[in-house]
Amino acid sequence: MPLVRVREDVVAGTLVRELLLERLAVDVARCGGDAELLGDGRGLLSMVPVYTLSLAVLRRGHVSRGINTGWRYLWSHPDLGMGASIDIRRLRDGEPELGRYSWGKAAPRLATAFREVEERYGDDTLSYQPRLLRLQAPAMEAIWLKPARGGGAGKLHGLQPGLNDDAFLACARERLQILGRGKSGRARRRRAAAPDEGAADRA
Amino acid sequence: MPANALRVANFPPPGAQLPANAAAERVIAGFPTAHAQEKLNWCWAAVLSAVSRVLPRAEGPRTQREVVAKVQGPAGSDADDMEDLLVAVRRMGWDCTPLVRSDLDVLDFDRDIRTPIDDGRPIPICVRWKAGGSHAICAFGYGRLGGSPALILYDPSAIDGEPDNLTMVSIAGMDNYEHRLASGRQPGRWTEAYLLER
Repeated sequence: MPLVRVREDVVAGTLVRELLLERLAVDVARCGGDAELLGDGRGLLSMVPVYTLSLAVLRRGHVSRGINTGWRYLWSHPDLGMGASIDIRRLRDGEPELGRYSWGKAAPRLATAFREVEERYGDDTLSYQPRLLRLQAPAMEAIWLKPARGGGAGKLHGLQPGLNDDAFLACARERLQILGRGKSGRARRRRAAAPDEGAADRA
Repeated sequence: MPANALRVANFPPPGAQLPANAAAERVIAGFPTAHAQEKLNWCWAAVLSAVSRVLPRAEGPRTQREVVAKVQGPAGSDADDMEDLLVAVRRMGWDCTPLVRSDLDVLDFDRDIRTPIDDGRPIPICVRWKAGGSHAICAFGYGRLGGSPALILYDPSAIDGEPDNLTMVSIAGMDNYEHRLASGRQPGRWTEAYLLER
């Protein structure tokens, strides 16, 4: 069993179940699904802890120092091509809070990606904690397999094809540099267009 | 089928009764959400390109490149620069009433959200982080989430990999929109929203 089973926060789980009871009938109907399938007991709820990195950690590549910011819940049904994705944030005091709710193909797609990773490492001698690494600024996410015992960053499988481990982190750093240049480019353009306005900005 | 390690429950349980008419939402028909921003700093261009499809100006720009050329000049299309969302909205030719932080703190949902959306006017929104940086998104619908009023959003960063997802965030949740990198405990919040005129 190379992937360690996730442990659910009771309060977060209650939030998610109440939300799904509110939303599922509407969203299943919108995508043309039969409301009857919501009562057949085959809908599946899964969850993965979400982590992010500080800028300094990203620059040094020390992924093992990721910060737990919440949980991603996924709801899917074998007869539907779409599903629900619910982000629950973990507040400073540890309490969970509803973040966002999404309906579409992302939920089954992420669930499938995790299943493929689980199959790939089925015979691995190490055990891993499954995590989702979410970097909002460069708009990237990866499946992060953190070794359950001992140190080490573990393995990163980017959700964009071909971006694994160091390549994922290098791409994130490169995208951050582009974001930084975009900010300075706007300031440069403004100074060129209106030198007085630019001087006022700098003041 | 999700990975076994992630599975927490079969849900809803067999025979569960769900409310048939719960939490219906309203969206602006034809608002395009399947387009990710073409460059890393073009969230503003993607938002205004989407807005222009449902609130067009005569011979106004439609694609992200056309929007960038209109707002930043022809050379802008070769760069990948951010732009102030209010500046961009006005250069595109829309009159608007900005709602700033103090307005958002006392938001009147019916007046500030429901009325413009019902009238087919999307609401461009700026999210800012304490540590610096901002991101443009757009409300094109409303509904209820967890029993509270909520926005239906277009976020062109497409971080979820499927930009056609329907994404909802409660009004309270907009003050805690997204974590960036600087700190996992300093999420971005919405700081400006622009009520466009027809």
